[in-house]
Amino acid sequence: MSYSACVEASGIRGSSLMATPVNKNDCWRVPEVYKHHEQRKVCISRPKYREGRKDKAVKVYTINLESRYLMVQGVPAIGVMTELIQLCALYGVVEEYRPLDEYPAEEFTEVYLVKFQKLTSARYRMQLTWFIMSYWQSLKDLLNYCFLFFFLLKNMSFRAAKRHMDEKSFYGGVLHVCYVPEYETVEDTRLKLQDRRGYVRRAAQYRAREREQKEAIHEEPTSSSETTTTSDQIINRHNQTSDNSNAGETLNISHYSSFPPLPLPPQEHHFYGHKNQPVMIPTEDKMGTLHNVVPDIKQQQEQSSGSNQTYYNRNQGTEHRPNSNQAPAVRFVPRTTHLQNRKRKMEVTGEHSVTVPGQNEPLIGPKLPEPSKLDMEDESLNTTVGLIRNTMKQVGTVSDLKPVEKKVKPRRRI
Amino acid sequence: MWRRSSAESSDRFEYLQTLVTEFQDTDSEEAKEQVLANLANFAYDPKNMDYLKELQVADLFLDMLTEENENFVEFGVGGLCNLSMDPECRDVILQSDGINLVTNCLSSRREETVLSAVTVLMNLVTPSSRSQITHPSILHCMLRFSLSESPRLRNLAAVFLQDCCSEEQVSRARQQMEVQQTAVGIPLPKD
Repeated sequence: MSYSACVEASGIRGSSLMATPVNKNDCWRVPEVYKHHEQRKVCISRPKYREGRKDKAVKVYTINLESRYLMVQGVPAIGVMTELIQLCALYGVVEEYRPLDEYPAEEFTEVYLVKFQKLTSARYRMQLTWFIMSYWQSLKDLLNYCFLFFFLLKNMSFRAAKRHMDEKSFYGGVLHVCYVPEYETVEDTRLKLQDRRGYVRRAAQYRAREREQKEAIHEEPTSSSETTTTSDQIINRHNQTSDNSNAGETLNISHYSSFPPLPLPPQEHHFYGHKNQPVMIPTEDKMGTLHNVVPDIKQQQEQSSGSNQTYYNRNQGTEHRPNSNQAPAVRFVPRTTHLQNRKRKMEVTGEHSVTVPGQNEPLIGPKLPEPSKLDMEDESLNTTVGLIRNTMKQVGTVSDLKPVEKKVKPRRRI
Repeated sequence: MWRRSSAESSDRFEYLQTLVTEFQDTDSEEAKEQVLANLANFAYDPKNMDYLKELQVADLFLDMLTEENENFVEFGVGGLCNLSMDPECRDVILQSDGINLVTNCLSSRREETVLSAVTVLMNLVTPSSRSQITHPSILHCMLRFSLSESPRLRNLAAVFLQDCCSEEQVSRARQQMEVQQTAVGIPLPKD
């Protein structure tokens, strides 16, 4: 590329030969409204087989759009800043925050800038998990431990904050949350890119190792070697990066040697293929957007299955189909089927709401108001919250059962 | 524990294959843009890398860089930005003359295109490709970008100059720029 072409290239980028004063570490400067802050129009012309779980605009998501700096718009101007930050803190450590008074906002709403702790917060998650575990003895049950850990793993991040808070109702308003990478420093950007590259590289190594193990299993199909490889796989799976597409966030246990290694799940509890447990694999919808989804095994895939043999190859290369005749466990589910299932589930829960579970007699008289339950709007999260709540109840009832000893004071008689 | 069944893998591969087929067969620009954006977003998840490699989607993205439609270019280079994080995809892009194609995107009017292009160039740096990527013309471009009004572009350019080049290369490029600028009569911006 010639020098003149480069000059032309850089000239267009608005440098205009004027160096703007660069405040290297100033995330509190006057904000500018950028295109990526705005919500684009939703695409309405997608064919059904490509429809996602949620209507979205046509946009490509790259690491440059992501950041640990979030901007929250649409916060009702009723003095709820503390509540907002508390909500953000559910998903990660908030390092700094401030209202962006200069940013254009809708009437009666405020805009906030929230800076989350550094990207790789896996260490924080492990510390928090271990702290809770050691303090909360009733959580000795391995199942609860694993759920708690993976709950934190999946949800303690600025990405989780963005995902869960965006478009959510908050004190009568609707929040719009977006990443604001323009507030990053050079170091922030560098670390972000390094983290991302490292994560993708580790995922590639993990996949390569899995492939080798599969090939090793196929080569030696004896029972003893299978047992060995299976247990090795379990160990390897725990010791390697989790292929968690909570994108960019990884856990490499070997790096955190100051913490005790995660105990292996007991052999009786088979998490994979366990019918009652939601499979905690965040998967993309049909547009490639990453969401945490709980697949419904009963649903059928509507899309036409590969009658088309061609794929992108200039030289008309050979076809390639992976061999599989098994029924799929996780499928891309069409949106209409989701809606129907949701409706069906609502009808079913409506029928059961009259009778109290565990009691045979019909309830007579007014019901006591139930304590308000936090709905995490995600089945796996709700399961985890339920388990934690039940465990807390157990701990609470134990203390209640203690007999109250009353000291009988002798009555004075005049 | 998170191992996907081979059936799910097959479904995923077939779905991606369907997308690629639709992209090839459809005449609708709008549909092409949607599918291209979908593929680029799928490239963000490392789980899909193997399938996208099989389907040669990197070549598809590279082909988009010479299109007139700016959306095609933006989505194509965005897809490359995601794919190039993977070492094997990076090698495929390098073998297909990716450096030159991506470098041409540096002159795009669209900020996202330029940002993705800078990121791809950083990802493509290997011992063998370093000399081509740190060519003085590209360094001059990055030096200009480091003075841009866009904070994201400034940061990316700064990271490029600090991590992909040596200090001597950067200072030499800066000196060359000064000489050529003053020769033309345009003063450099004063810090």
